[in-house]
Amino acid sequence: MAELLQLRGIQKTYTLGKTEVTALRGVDLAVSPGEFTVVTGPSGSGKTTLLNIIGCLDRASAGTYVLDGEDVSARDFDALAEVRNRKIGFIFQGFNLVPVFDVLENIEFPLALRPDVTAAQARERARQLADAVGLSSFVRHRPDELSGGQRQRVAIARALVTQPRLVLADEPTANLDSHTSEQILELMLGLNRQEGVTFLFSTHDPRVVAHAHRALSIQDGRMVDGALAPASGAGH
Amino acid sequence: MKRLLSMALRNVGRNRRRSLLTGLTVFFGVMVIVNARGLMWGLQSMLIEDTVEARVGALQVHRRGYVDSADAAPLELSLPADEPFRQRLLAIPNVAGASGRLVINGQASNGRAQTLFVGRGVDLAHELETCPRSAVTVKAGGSMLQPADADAALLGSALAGAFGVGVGGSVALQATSPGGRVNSLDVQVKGLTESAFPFENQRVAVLPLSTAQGLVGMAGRVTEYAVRVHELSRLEETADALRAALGPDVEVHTWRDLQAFLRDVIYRQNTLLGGVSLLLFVVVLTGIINTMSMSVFERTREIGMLLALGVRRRAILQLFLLEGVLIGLAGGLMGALAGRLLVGGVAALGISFNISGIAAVTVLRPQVTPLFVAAAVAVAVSGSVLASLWPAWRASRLDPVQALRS
Ligand SMILES: Nc1ncnc2c1ncn2[C@@H]1O[C@H](COP(=O)(O)OP(=O)(O)O)[C@@H](O)[C@H]1O
Ligand SMILES: [Mg+2]
Repeated sequence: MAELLQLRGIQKTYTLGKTEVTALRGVDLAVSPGEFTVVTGPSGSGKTTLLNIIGCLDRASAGTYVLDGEDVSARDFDALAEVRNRKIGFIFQGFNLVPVFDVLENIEFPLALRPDVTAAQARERARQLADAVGLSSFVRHRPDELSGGQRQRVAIARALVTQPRLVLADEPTANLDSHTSEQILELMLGLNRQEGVTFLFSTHDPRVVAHAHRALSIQDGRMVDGALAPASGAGH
Repeated sequence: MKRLLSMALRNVGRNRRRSLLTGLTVFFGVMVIVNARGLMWGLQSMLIEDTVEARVGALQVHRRGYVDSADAAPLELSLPADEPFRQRLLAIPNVAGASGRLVINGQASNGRAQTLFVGRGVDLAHELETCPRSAVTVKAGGSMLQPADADAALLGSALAGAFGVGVGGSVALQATSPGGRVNSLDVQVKGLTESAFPFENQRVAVLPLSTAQGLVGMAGRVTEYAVRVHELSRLEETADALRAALGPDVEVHTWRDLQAFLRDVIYRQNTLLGGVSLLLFVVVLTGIINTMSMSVFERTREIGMLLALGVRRRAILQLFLLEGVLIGLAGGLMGALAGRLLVGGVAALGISFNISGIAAVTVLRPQVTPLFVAAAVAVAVSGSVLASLWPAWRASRLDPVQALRS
């Protein structure tokens, strides 16, 4: 099966004044389409850094990164804006919605950035996704009128609105209580199953790991145990 | 683009108090400038009218070389005091009136004391057509000279005071003809004049033209023509037309050339206003820079998110510029409207200046041109762009990774 993404020898070093902090020390990773993969690891182990590189928000200091058959390691930030918009959906820990937009406007936003999509098409697709994440009766609400779980549903819908090849979620349940986390996880698993959306996300939460097809562990900037055996939930 | 505008509009509404405060500084800035300009123009046009309508005329015509030695009142540089010459002036477009004058230097005395005076002999048949307000500068108790008057005078109030002479009294005037003959004449004081210009008060005596001509033996001659125009805004072109029509023996000056003092006062007022405007502009700009910087700082994560979703850096720049411009535009337009209304209101009421003893009241009416009001708004808006430029640029250069971590 053709890999959706392939990382080889990815290193990342941050320079803080005179000191250098190495966040990633040679990561190899391949993800196939349709996979539901989690990356676990303690705080500071490099999860966010890895996801930022995969999301084309950040560039590796060394190594190669091929996304959907395209080497994106050397592209500059603005050229990657298009790649981000078309191929990747982001779900952030802190939701990060546009506070002055209502639910529909937030969901349609990444799609509306595209010159080839009409406002009506974007709106229609946003409605479908609001339905899919169970927010059809909240479409006119602003983020500050929603609960944390509802906000994260908006963020999930927004990440999916462009039908991206890959959805990245950096600790998407960290700001939610365990019951709501469960629901959000169910939602993502459902979308993975029904729509075949490829998810890659990071978490602290051991219960989340149990549901993943594949759980990777990162420590001190290195993958440990390469790829853990797929968890029992893989057959969903 | 529509989405960007709608986003900017809503972002401006987000921190309502701060946007309002910033908009208010623009509002007050524009309003103050419009009103200060209005007052200044009102004052200046009052001064100009006083000069043009009461004394100098809009333009003056002399024999060439006269104005350079005007202090000596050179009588040999004279012009004909006849109707054909006056008609040549009146034939020029925009000329509304013309009146001949003979300006002489001499001594005035009451038998005990004497002093130098400047006599302005005026053609009473045409003087009021040319300087319609010369009558109103006569203080209460006196009266304007009439065409039938001879051997009569209006004295500057300080000049009259120096002799202790009042309306109805008489003074002896003495002057020398171009040929060197000294003549003397008793004139009756018919009124006292008062002017904002000290020289007028202290030195000038207004005489019937024939009286002045008799004093210096210059029947049929004048040293200047005062000219009135329909439109002051076309003054220079009218002056040029007169020069072309009258030829090289004659010189034509505008009130600006003749009243360097007033011209300089106006220039200084305008410079001061310019300085104050600039200061105000800087203060308002600083406010906008401050507001936009705070806004960028507070929204760092949001900017990171927008960049992550694929928004171009240029669009981020435009977003923040737009927000600054919206504040500037709203504040500027409302300030212009309020300023214009205030100027109109004060002009309708009028600010009265009752210069002591003068029958007529001089009223200051602030005035602004639509062009100036529009320019004030344009400066406010372009100032907002300028002030937002740096914060907006910083926002657009944020590193999304750092911004999202903040
Ligand atoms: N912008 C940065 N500058 C310097 N060091 C950084 C920066 N971002 C992350 N790091 C460091 O890189 C390491 C990995 O961080 P991160 O990827 O955020 O880990 P995690 O998401 O697993 O908590 C940490 O030691 C962190 O301090
Ligand atoms: Mg992290």
